[in-house]
Amino acid sequence: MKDMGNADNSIVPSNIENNTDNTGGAEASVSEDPVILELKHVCKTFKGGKKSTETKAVQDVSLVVRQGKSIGVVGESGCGKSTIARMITQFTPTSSGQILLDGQDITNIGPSGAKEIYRKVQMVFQDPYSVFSPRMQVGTFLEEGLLHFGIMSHAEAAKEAVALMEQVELSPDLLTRFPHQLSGGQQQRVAIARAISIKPKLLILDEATSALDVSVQKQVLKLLVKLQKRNNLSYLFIGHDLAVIRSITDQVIVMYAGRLMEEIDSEELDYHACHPYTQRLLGSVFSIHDRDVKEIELEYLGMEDDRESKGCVFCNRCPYAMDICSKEAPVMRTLHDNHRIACHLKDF
Amino acid sequence: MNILEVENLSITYDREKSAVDHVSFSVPDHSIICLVGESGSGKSTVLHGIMGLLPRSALVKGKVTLFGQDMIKAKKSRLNQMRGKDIAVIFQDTGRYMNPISTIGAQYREFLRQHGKYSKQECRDLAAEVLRRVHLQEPERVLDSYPFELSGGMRQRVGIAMAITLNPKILFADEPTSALDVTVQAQVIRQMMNLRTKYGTSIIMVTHNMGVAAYMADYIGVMQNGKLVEWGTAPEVIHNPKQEYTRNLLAAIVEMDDERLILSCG
Repeated sequence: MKDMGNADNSIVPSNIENNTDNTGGAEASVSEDPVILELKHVCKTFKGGKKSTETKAVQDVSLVVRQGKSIGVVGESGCGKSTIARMITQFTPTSSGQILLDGQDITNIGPSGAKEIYRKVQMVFQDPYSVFSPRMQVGTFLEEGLLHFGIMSHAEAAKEAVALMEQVELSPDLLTRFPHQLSGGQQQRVAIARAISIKPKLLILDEATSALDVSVQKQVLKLLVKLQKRNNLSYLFIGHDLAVIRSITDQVIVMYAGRLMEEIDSEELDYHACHPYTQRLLGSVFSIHDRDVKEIELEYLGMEDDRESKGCVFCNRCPYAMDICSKEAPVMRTLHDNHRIACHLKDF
Repeated sequence: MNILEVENLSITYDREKSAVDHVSFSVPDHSIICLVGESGSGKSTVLHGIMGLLPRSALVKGKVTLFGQDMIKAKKSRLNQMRGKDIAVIFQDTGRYMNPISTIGAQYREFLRQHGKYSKQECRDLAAEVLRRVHLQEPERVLDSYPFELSGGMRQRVGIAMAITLNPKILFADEPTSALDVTVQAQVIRQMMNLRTKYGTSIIMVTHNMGVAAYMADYIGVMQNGKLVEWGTAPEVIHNPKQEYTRNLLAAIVEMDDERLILSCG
C-alpha cells in the first residue's frame, strides 16, 4: 500500500497527537519529529578485578531516536550494543557522556530516579520466560505495571489487561494461564503487552525476536510494527540479524568493539553501506536466494584485543587497512544525509 | 554407495505421541545433509537416535545402518569404539560438554587415549596441528587454557577440531553455529565444508537456519511434528518445494532483499 519512496512519511501515524504536550528534544527542528532519546558521546569503561584492567565497552557513542521512529543497533557479541541499553535503563552507570530522555538529563540518575524513567522507557528481552514470575498468572502480570505506577484501579486494570491481550493478538482466555503454559511466541507477545501497558514513549528491544522460530518471529515482527504505528512508539532495536533489523527499522547503527562504525538509512543498507566492517557483516549473511561462494576470513578470533587499539578498532581485520588506520582513530563524518561513517578510506 | 541408511525410524518417550515418526532417508558417501524444521519438530532427536545418544526412557523402533553396522542393536562397547573415530559430533554449545576444571590440552589427551596409544608429547603435537587446521592462532596457548578462558567461537572451534582429529567418515552437527556471531558462523560453516572437500567427510547437520542449509547442503530434509515432510536436493527444496509447510517456512524468513516489514504492514 505504501511505496518505497516515502519511507519517512509512512511512519507518522495520522491519529495520535494528543499526548505529546511535553515534547523536550533540544535539537528538534520544525520539520522533524521530536527527539525522544539522545546519547551524546557516551562511554562505558568496566574496571577489571584483580589486575586493575579496564575494558572499554562503549566509546564515544552518539545517537538520536525520534518519536515514532525505529533505530536498529547491530554488531557482534561484545560490541557494546546491550551495554548502551543497560545505561539508558540505569542497570549500569555511565562512565562519561550524556543521556537525554525527552529533553531531561537521565545520565546516572540511578535506581531512585529510575522509576520515573520506566514510565517512558520499557524493555523487551530475548528470553521472554525469564521476565515472568513462574507462579503469577498472565492477567496479574499484565496488571502489575498499571497498579505499580498507580495508573488505574484494580477493576480498570483487569479490563485493560483484556484490551492489551487483544492488542497483541492473543485470546483473553490466556489471562488465567501460567507462563509455562504458553508457547515462546505467546510469552513474547505477553512480555510486549506488559511493556506497552503503561504507554511508554520508547521501547528498547534487546534481541527480542532472536530466540523465536522463523514463522513466529515474522508474526512478532509484524506485530511490533503495527503497535509502533498505532501508539506512535519509538524503538531502539538491538540485534545481530541484519535482515531483521533492516526490515523493521528506519535507521541502522553498526557498532564494533564499542565504537560506532556506520550510520545509515535501513533502506540503503544492502546497496549503499560502505564501511568495511558493515560489508563484512553483510557478506556473512546466508540467504536462501543465493548460493554464491562468499569470501570469508578464517583467522578472526574475537574483538577483545581490538578495543585497545590507538587507531581504528577494526584495523586488524580490515582488508583495506592503511598506515594511518593503526595510528589514528577515524572521526565520524557525514557522507550524505543520514549516512555517516567512521573510516579513513576516502573514496566510497 | 550410501554411508548411512535410516529406515522407518520412530522414537517415543513414555508412550506419548511419537517424537520421531517413521522417518526414512539415506546419505550418499561424501555428501552434506541438512535437517531443518522448527523447535520441537524432532530434528535433533533423529540425530541423537542415529548416534545412540538417547536416554534410556526413549523407545526406538526402525533400522539405522551406518557403514553396514546396525546402530540400534550395536553394543555400547562397539559404539564407543566408533564414536570419535568413525563418527564425530559437534553440539550447539561445545563448551558445555567440556570439563570446566581441566585444560583443553588435558581433555584432548583424554579423548585421544580412548582411541590409541599416544604419548603426552604426541597428543600435544597432534592437537596443536589440528587446532591450527581450524585456524586457531596460538594453539599452544589454547591447549593451556581452561574452557572459560576461551570465547564461544573459540570453544566451538576446539570442538570441531576434536571432532575432526581422527578424520571421521561422518560428522554429526547439532545446530553448531546457532550460538555464534554471524561472521564466526560463516567461518565455521566454511571450515565444515572444507572437511568434505579435503577429507571426503560426510556431514549431517541439524539447523533452523534455512540460509545455511541452502548454502552448504546437497540434500535438505524438512521435519514437522516428528515427520520428515520433504526431502530433496537443496535447489529443489529451496526453489521448488512440494509441501505447503516448506513453502510457509521459506516465506517466513526475513531476507535482506525482501520488502521491509516497516513499509508493508500496520
